[in-house]
Amino acid sequence: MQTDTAVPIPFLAALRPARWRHAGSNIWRNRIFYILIAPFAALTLVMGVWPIVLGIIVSFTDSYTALTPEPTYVWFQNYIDIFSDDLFLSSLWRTLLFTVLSVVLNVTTALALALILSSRSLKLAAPICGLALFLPVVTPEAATFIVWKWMFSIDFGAVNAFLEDMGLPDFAGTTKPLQAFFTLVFVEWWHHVGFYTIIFLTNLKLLDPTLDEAARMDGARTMQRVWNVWIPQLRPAIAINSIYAVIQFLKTFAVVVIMTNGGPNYATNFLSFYAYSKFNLADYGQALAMATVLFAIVIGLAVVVYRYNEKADYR
Amino acid sequence: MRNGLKQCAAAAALLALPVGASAQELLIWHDKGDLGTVMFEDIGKLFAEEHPGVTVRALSFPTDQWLSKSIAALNTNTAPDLLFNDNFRINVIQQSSGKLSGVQDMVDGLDDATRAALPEGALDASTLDGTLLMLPLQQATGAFGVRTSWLEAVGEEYPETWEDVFRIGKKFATEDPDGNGSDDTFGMALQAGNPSVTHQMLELFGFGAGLDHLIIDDEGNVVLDDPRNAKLIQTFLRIFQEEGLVSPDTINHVFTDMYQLIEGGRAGMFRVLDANVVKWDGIEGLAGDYTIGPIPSLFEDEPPAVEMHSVRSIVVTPSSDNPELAAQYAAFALQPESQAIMLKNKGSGVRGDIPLDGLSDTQAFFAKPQYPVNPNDFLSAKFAWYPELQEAFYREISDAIANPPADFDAWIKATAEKMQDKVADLKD
Repeated sequence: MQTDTAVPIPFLAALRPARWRHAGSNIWRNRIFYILIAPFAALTLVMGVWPIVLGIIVSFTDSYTALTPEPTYVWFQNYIDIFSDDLFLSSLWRTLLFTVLSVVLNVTTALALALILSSRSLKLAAPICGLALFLPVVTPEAATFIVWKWMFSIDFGAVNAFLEDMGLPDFAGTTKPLQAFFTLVFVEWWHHVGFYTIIFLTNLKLLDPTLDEAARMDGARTMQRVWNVWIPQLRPAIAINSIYAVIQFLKTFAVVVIMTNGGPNYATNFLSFYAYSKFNLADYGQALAMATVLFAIVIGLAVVVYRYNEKADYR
Repeated sequence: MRNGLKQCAAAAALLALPVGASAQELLIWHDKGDLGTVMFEDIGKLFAEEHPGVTVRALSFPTDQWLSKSIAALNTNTAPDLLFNDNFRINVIQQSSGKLSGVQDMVDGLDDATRAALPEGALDASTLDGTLLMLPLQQATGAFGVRTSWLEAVGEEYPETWEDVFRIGKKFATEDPDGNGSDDTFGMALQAGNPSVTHQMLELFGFGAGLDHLIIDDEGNVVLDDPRNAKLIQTFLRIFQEEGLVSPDTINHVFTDMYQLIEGGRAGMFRVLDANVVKWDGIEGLAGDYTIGPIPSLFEDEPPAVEMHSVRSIVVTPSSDNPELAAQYAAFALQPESQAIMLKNKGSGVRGDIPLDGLSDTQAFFAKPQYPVNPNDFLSAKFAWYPELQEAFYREISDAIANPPADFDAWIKATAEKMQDKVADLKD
């Protein structure tokens, strides 16, 4: 019978005194570096990590005592409460659906736009088109969303005026649940797609032209070159854009506050907004339980997307 | 030289001493806007005549912020000296903090004339779980307003019934009552974008029309499917279904959007609170062009009336540095001269004997009501869980606004059953 005592365990090996001595000497050798980054590391811990930890701690407390010096710990009760709340569950699924739709829409259209903008035939117009695409990204969110709210107003909005001029039926905009959901998908796409496009454009400028040339000489058609030569080389941009978009759309908030207030009939009551509504009513325990769930989903999905992009073989 | 400096320092310290020793500031948090701040600070100036060195500073926050900040501050012992708001919101902060200890002693200490001038209804509305929790300062009344020139333009008179409202509303939406040549007017302005406050609209129309209760009665039994309540709810839903009566965007409108429609001259009928008229009397195009009257009638056996919308009250917080002085200020705000300042700035007081000189017609409508004032049932004062029930009910209303029920009778029955289950859950 074989025993496993001889199998090396990396974790235990790391605890060996020799390893510690080595680590210690390493730190000593790089002490100037560590001294220089220490203030920033401390700031990150205090301003970045501690609020997250505090938020998670508060999610285990009774809301009424959450801010007192001696809070009452109810442990997982807030989590049980939110997962028993139909509105939270529908909000969770709605947020995930919105995120999936928005990530796919933004990343694919940004890639298509970047390919178009990088084509030689658009050489003169490309900077103007790029600027037009990037302007929404740098426009303040509040101003942007207020203007879109007016544009989609069924009373006096430009969208319906245009549809009327074209002899088309009115679009309900933000006044009907389904249409409101897709209106937000569109407005968020308009606001963010320029950013993803710029990332793709930057990556496209770094492509190795010899690979494309070789494929051309081998008789590859345009789509074959895009799929087999360009896309694999765009892997870094695809990874960055996908991860950033997942994080961005899971946290969708400002557009909801300004355009729909979570309505109509909770059709745009996304998780961040719902947690905020709870927070406004001083239901800190449940609000932070929701925020913690959202945080876990953001981290989890970002890691999954990152790992997928790392492992995927585009070549 | 050194002695000279010492003498100067000593003299400065002596001069500063009396001022420093008596200078005190009372801080009030409220949500009544700039006019509310002026109101409290003006009362503070009068108060300072009797209490030299005391200054009163008031800070106004948006309602949501006032709620969350007040609860957080009470729970962390960082609250200001005084908190002021509508009774149902003070109930919420008490239910979320349990820090307020009541004002019975303060009321017992009032002079006889002031005590006698306090309406019992206002004191009842200021009570939570049998404890007189807050000191009532204002009795806020809700009524109905219609643009006078629009009524003339479409050849109508002030609406007495809901059928009148629907008919006039249609004309307001289709007959260009403002004469600007554009199709840009609506019959009525409402807000339905925030379920936690949509109830204010339904309650205005319901209690104003004579209902005793809306969702449950005093015993906690669901009554929303009683014929009179069902009629109100069906009428309320009809507002959203009648073509053009309200803006289709109303389903997302919060109070700011509602007020934009009213003050911007795009809606002909609207809710009017006493607190609105002071501002509206200064808005060109609106001032002098609206008639205030009773809530449109729903039931033939009920006289025309208005609604006692809320009782705005004040509490001294346990974290006040000077609770005695804060209590004196709160009691001072009930004196006739303070109440006159409230009337001037926010359109209402709580005493029945406030001098009414110098009020505009619109202010006088509320200060000296010509119609019965039907009180809201204020059940949040009796049942701590009532706000949660209200929110659950208004989710159903939001759903019915977005997806009008094909069979209203079946919908109201099913909704009543859901609320009965919710009450049972909440009681547990």
